Amino acid sequence: MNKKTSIIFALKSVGLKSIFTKINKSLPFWALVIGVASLVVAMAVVSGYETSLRKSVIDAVGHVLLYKNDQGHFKSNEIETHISNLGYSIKGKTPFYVVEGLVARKGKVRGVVIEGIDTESVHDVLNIKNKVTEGEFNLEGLKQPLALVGQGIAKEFDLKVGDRFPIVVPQLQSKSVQVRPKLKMFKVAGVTALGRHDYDSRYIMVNIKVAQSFTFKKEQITGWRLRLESSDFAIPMVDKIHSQLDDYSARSWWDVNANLFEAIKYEKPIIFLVILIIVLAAAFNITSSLFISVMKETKDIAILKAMGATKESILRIYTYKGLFIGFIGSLCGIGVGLLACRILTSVNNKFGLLPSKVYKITELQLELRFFDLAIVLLASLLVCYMATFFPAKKASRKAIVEGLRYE
Amino acid sequence: MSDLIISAKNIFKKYNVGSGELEILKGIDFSINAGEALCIVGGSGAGKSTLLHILGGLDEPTSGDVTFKEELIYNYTDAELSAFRNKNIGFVFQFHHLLAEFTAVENVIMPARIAGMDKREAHKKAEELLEDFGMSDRINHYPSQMSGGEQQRVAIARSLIMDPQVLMADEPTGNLDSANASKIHDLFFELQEKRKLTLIVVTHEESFAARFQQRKTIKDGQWLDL
Repeated sequence: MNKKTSIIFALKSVGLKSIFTKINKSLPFWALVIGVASLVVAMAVVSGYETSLRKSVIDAVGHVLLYKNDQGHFKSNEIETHISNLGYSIKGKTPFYVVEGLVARKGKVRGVVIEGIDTESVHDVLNIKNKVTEGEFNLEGLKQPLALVGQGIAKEFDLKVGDRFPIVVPQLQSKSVQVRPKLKMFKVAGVTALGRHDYDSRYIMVNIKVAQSFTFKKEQITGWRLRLESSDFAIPMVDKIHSQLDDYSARSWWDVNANLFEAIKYEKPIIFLVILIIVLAAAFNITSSLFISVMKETKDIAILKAMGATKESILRIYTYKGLFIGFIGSLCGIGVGLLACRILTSVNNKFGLLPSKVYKITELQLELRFFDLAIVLLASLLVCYMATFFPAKKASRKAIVEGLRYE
Repeated sequence: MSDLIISAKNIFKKYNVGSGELEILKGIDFSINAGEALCIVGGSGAGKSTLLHILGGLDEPTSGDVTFKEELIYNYTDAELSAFRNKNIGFVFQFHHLLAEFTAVENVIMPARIAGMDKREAHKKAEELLEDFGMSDRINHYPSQMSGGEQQRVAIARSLIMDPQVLMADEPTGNLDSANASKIHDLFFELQEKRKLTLIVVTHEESFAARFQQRKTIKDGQWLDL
């Protein structure tokens, strides 16, 4: 019996005409669908979370943060002379200056990070403009300094566009041990939602010149933020900087949340394997239902052998039969999984299922990667193939007379 | 027409039953020439079906040799033995054993499809056979939509699609009423005559057995006439 005939027989004996009626009543089939759907949702959640986190980090910090070790003046032309010839194309660069301070308003006090940004070049590196949810991106006023406050801060201090609030920065006096706080009043130009809970609850963005005016070194910057051709080049570039340039240090977008990214990297295969247990349980059901099918079809197996079917072709028929259930079950599982992803996204968008304080990002994004779906399908088919092996083997070894003797 | 086609020597068949053994055949010898018709009769449990299965390559004897055209069939590999059954032997059983999910014509073409015959050619041949048996209006019917006599005709058509040299039937009309049984009996002799088939039939029906020139009776696993 050739492969085509084996497949036709397998499909027919599954009962192609009434396949959906049969399948609807088939417990192993639905167990498989649920298992595969769970895998799809889990993979989409983990991939989506990884992508959201990566995007939110890159939008807020850029690909690479570059520092000069001696804290001296770090001028733009140094990047051209020292960094550009490392072999990575730099698509954008912007200086930044960070100071830590306090916001005090309506009886509340909170430590914040004040980041001074260059209002022109910042857009070449960061994606902040469309993260302004209220007000506008405008940090030009120097006499009446303007600020973009994170939505967490805005909520906590009840700040609205146009409101004024003070920022206090403790200053260590040169040649003395005295600390003198420096206070500036800022006007809220806009509220930002950077998509990361920790940034939104701590970051205030101001014009770099205003931030520098808090300190005595007016030209000093903390470092440069760089945008490369691809975020994938950031990690090797940072490695190169550390190994080849003694005067500079750098952090990639990965380093900014290394623990979290590292955890996701290992979480994904572990989640996959854990949820695969559901598919395995479903596969055991397929095995038992195929064993029952072999028992019921002893007569058919006998007659096929009497007509000349070999043990191998009987093995093939039952393998195809199991794989057919596995394939349809896996496809339906993927379909149900995709549907579940859509439902989960809309429910989350409506009710906010993701606690941003825990997961660092404010919005759950589900991402379905073709590679993930292919792996889910392959794993499920492999499990189903293993599930069909023993019943198929049993079918192929059935003695012909066993099926012919009795009706 | 006196060429030896099937022979069996000193056939023993034992089955393990619980802790003991049940001996079904006790040193049976058998031979039949091409084109002959032979009937094996005997009581229930005498071993006639077991002998037929052994002669047709369906069940290996515990000891003894079975040859088809002087070749020992139980020396074949599984694939060779399967091909032997497919090409040389047509089987008809008491319970037609049609595949329930397949139509009449699909059941008939099954051996041809197993052999790898072109689907259209097999289909054409199957339709011709079913027409010969007066089943042209039942071609696309499922076994459950046919009477017992019709199902048995389909089973006979299926046994002939590969143009076998030997047709073996095990109580082919044991499940039919006398009118239908008689028609099937006539059909067997017509086919044997027309196709020059070697016909081996196992039956307990006296009226059917009486129509054979050669009859052998088996009792307790041995020929009664020995």
